[in-house]
Amino acid sequence: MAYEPTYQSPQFHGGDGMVTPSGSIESQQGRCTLDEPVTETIMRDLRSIGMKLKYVMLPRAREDKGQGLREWDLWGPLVLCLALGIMLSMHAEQASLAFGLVFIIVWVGSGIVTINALLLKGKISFFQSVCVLGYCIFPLVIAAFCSLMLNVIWLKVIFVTIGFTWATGASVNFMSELLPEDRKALGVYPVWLFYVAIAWLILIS
Amino acid sequence: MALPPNWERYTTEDGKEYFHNAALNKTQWERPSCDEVPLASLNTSDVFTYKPSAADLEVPRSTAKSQELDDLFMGVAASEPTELVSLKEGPGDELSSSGRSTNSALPKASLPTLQGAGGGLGFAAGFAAGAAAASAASGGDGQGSAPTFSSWLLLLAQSLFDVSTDDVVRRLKLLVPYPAQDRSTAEELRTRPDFYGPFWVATTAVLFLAATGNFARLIESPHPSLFKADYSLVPLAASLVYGGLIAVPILARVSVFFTDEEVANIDFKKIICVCGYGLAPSIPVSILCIIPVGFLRWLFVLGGLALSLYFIKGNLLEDISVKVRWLQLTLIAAPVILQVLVFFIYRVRFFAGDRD
Repeated sequence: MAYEPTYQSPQFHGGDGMVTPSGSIESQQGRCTLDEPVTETIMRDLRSIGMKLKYVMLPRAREDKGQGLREWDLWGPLVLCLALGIMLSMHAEQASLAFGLVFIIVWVGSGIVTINALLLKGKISFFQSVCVLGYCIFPLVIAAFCSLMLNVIWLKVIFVTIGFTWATGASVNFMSELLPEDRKALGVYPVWLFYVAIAWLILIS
Repeated sequence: MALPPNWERYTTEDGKEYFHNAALNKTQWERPSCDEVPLASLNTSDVFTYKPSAADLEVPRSTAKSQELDDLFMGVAASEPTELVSLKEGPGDELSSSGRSTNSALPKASLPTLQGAGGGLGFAAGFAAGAAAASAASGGDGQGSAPTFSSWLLLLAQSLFDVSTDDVVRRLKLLVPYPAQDRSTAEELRTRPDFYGPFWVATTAVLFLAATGNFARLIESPHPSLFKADYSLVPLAASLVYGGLIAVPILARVSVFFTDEEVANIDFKKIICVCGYGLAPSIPVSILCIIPVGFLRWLFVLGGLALSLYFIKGNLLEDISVKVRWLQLTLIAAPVILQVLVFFIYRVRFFAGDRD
């Protein structure tokens, strides 16, 4: 017979939006990482980024409200942001301005969206939210890549629309979950605006 | 069958079951009976359900630290008389004073007011949620350290973002002159200005002005596939809108400095709030301006400007009652000039035909 068959962990119904910050250190507990080869360390990080990117693209991310991105890292958003910036500035007349805009919109934008949620008394961890918002631009990065390959206006519109729907679908649930009932829309609107800004940059590039 | 609250069923290593009550620190072999437990709590007895109680709210309040923080807040409020007034009126103050004088539990009936934080500035409610958020914001040093400047800043900012979705929607509706304006909402805007609306209206305006300018050029360009985006419209729109929103209260403050008028007579928060909401018509106008007809664009821009100025007239001008005549003119002119600048620079500078 099992030792504790019926023990049920406490569930806080009132505050289920409470998320504690959990970095990547937590997942490595109990494993000695000091004497492993560097390649292994890098590969593990790359694998974790790859897993999260895959997660964002799956509809599962919408259903469980971004919980798979709970162990945050900022490498993924950085890579995505750089990739998007390079793609958009490739054919632009004002290449450095385009790259700078992408960089500022992604980082300052996700920061402000998170601070906004904090000020609305959302129970949210800063870096986790920045991580979720950053990873969720992945569909838009794919849309940017596709429209770079096939430079036809109406195809671009289709790609960006799909990418935008996917990105907002994956992230809006995460944000609305953590906000008080009467101000969900106030927290979700900036998330929407954040992806509108990125989608617009891709569309006119 | 469900166990009474606080009771847990355990099994020993040889399979015998026993029961433990964490609250009473009592262990027994017999299954505890549910007789003395009220029926309502039976359904939820297996799972600990969080029910907000007065005791929870007492915790942060009873510590000396939050008392100190509270005093700090009161000190700030006292230097700004408008805030003090709304504090006195709000239900939050009533609660916090009762919480301070008697350390007993608050009547449960008053809790919804506290949770909703509908009236006043709701500082008391801000403390319960704000303390949690403050510790989350400061990177997880949640050991309840002394009130730092950043947590104070967060609480102050939270009081400025203390609006619900309904509030913001109603305030935006004030911009539409027909059907007739809701006086209570206008009054609320006067006593409880928020910064959520101005900030996000301004941000949306920046994005839409720059985006629609580029789309209009894309539509008008003879070879759409050769079109090159003009990214410099974003910094231009941003400096115009954000710069204007910052400049208007600074200008007001400086001009007050040169007169012997009491600073307390002017509510700078409200000036920013009304200016920010006043920018909202530029968003639909910018979308309409994608239509590539120069005459229609002027029509839309002037229409939007009229809406903005009407809103400022209705919600700001009536309140400015200062003795010095030129100060009054400055305070009135600054927001008006901001709106005119935004709309006209948009029309003249953002579209392809007018560029060269």
